Amino acid sequence: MSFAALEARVNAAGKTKLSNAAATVGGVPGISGIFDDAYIDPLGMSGSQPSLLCASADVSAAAQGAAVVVNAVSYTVGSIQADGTGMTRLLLQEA
Amino acid sequence: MGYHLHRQIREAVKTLLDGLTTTETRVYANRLQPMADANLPGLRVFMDDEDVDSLTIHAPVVQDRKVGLIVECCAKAASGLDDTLDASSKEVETALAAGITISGHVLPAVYAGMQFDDAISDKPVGIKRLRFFITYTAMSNAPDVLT
Repeated sequence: MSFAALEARVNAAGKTKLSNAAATVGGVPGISGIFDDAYIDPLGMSGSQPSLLCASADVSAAAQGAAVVVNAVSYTVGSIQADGTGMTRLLLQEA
Repeated sequence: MGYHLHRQIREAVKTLLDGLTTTETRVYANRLQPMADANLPGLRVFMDDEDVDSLTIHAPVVQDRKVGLIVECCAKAASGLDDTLDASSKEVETALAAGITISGHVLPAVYAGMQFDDAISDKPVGIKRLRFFITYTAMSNAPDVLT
């Protein structure tokens, strides 16, 4: 098995086992991913950093500013961070 | 003995800034005030540094003091963050333009510049950090009384 095939298999397994949200990204519903919304306090102001880690293929059409809905909360894509292994993290901002 | 003049000045500034249009009563005389959403947009008031010149030789000396006052305009907004910070800054600068009054003495608050800082969060957050200088005179053995 090639490394690329192994990588794709691991990504698929991780997505299946670890996904905790089905999101709508850029109008496309049902995109599964790992949603995280950890507390942060930039500049001494309390907040959180919502992000959605998805298979890159699922969000290849997503652009900065695209609408995202996760758990009935509306966000926009603030930044798109592909990790080069087939996964992409969308940093989200509340709309 | 009264409070140190630093505290008197800080509290006078807080009182003066209380009730501005943008920040209303969300004024905190505490550099470490954690700003939750309910505290925003808000102001943090504190002092950063002070330079002192001795005007006499023998103790207790008369000291000419120049303290750096910081007013941080803090805001969090999905859009128009800089506009909110600028509006808050305008209100603060206008409120301090006539100086502050301590024990019947008017101390000028001289605007010395500003610095923006911002960061990504669930909504963008930003700070406009305003610097003012306040000069006053006190005896070295009585830092709670204006001379």
